[in-house]
Amino acid sequence: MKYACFKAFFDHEKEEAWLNNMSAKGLAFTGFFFRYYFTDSRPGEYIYRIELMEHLARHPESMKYFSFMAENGVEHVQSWGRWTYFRRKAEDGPFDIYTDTDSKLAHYRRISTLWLALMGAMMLMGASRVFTVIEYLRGMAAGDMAFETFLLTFYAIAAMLSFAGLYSVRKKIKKLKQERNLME
Amino acid sequence: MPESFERGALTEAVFYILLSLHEPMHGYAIMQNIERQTAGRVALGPGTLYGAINALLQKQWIRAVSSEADSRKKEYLITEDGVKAFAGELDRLRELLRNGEKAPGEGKI
Repeated sequence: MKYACFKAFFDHEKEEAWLNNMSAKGLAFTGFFFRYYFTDSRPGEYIYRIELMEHLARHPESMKYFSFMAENGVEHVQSWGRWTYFRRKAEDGPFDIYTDTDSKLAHYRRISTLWLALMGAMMLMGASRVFTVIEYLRGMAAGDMAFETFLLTFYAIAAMLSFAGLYSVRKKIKKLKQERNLME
Repeated sequence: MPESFERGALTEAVFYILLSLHEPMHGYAIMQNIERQTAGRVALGPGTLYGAINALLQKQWIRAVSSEADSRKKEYLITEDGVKAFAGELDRLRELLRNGEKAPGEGKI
């Protein structure tokens, strides 16, 4: 049976935890397309991990990475750009993609950069809308005020969501850096 | 070899990868070997291992060797520079151990 579920996350680790929770209930995640899709499986058959890779999934470097992962029993479930869902059979033991502080930090930094770029882009787009609205109010530009308001709201919300994502990953980076002062 | 390499501590992952690659091994075998040697204490994630292998290749502390059995799986082997770095790390660890054991009350707790 195939199941579908709506859900949204800011934090890839919370998303992972949710997917693993579903897996524990016997619902194995198979892909995302506006909704999360699951099929029946043995409860707890798979452990899921989500990674923001260094390259896009179609990049040759990512191909090499996928084949390395396959050698290690890790299945590539799906990619969206650089975001990638991996899973491995739970019977192969604990599964984490990154196990030392440096590689974890590098992964978090990639995520942080992505959120920052997204937030910057949304703020720029929003700012350009503000100027259009001001010009409109001064009677210097023709336009649909309702549409402009909608766009401006959209960019503002997108920027805030990006900030929420950025904030959560920066917190993790800070915590790891403190730990690194003491141990590897 | 540049001085900085000799002074810095190797990460646990790099130390055990270099130790494993005194004989040719592919990625999965390295992971299993490390888990066995540390009785499961060090379980390297595939992402960490992949990054470490690439960094070691770039530094030329290890090199890829062609394996006869399965040409799809790349095997790696430590180089001369790698052996030197590993020996340097062993010296550093010996020094740590020597000094650590001088601590008052060591072994009595």
